[in-house]
Amino acid sequence: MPFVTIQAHLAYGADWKDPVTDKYCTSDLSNCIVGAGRAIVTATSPGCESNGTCFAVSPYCNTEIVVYYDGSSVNKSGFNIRWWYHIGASFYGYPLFVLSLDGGRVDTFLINGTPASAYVLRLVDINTYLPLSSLWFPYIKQYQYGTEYLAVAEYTGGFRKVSLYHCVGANQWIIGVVGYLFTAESSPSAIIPLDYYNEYVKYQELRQAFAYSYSGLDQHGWNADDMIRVLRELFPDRAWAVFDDRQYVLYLYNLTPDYVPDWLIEKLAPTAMKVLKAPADAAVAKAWLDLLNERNAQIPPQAELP
Amino acid sequence: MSGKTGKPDSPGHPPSTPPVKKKVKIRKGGRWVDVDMDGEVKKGRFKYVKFVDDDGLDTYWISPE
Repeated sequence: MPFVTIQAHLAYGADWKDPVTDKYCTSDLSNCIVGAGRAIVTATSPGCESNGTCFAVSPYCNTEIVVYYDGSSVNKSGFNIRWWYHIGASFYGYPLFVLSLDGGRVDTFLINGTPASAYVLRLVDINTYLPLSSLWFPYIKQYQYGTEYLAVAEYTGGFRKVSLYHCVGANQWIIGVVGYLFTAESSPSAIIPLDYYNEYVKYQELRQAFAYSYSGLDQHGWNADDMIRVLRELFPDRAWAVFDDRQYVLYLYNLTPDYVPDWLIEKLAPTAMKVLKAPADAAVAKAWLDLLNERNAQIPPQAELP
Repeated sequence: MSGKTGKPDSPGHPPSTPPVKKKVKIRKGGRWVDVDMDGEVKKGRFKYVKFVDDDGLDTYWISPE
């Protein structure tokens, strides 16, 4: 299977790109000098968005903001981390995240050519689905704290343990200069838009079968045949697709190519499409297409910001 | 006489026969294969040839054109 290589950035010390003012955080995150700074604390339980408990604001800059560890997906082809990053002014050229990997901190950086950098360069808009890539910006969630905004991004990779640290003070970031490299394996993907909060049980079932995505769009698995078998059992009446990245075959269930959007074909470039089951009800296929398009809506990220 | 309907064939018209499918070559499994094309579909930049594959599934294979 193909591998995706991502470069990250180890964070120690202030980078030359970081404007040095009287408000910044030191490298070890334990001695933050931020007069009016704050850290964002997020909940890790599903459903926090619906009851408004995803966020709390901490006055302590060295607060660990996210520990999102999907242990059930360990030893599978990949799992997903949802993170929150600052989308305040002039973040281009700055690292977006600080990950703690079993004791070591890694600061993800915007590397040219990655979806992250493409996003920043506005070649890829938020909500753009990037199959077989390690980074995906599923949507923007606007949470405003003063003049600062947060957005949601998602990473699919192979870490066993990840913590995110973050420190915001007058748009300052902790950044470093030590390079770091890791890879993530891409795998066959099931393409079935799900609602994480309203279809949580189904997510759990998918989790038993193969690693899944909080995005509710692409779930990664070991091989296409197994995924098709599981999806037939779980979703016999839904429309879904499975992309076999070894044969480059897109399998369609309750779908025909008429319902597959061109942008998905452009992304996957399948050699063949095979119809496992033609849609008995066109509304089922149409619903799949509409959800897919909705999550891939081309919305310029800044356009939503006031 | 037409074998199916029992009606006489119209004078000057040959007996009806199933339409002959156009044969096209596709690149499959590292070699060129002739398939009986049922149609064509264009998706994005790509054009696909529709046929029934050996597994019995309606298949859309990328056109070599």
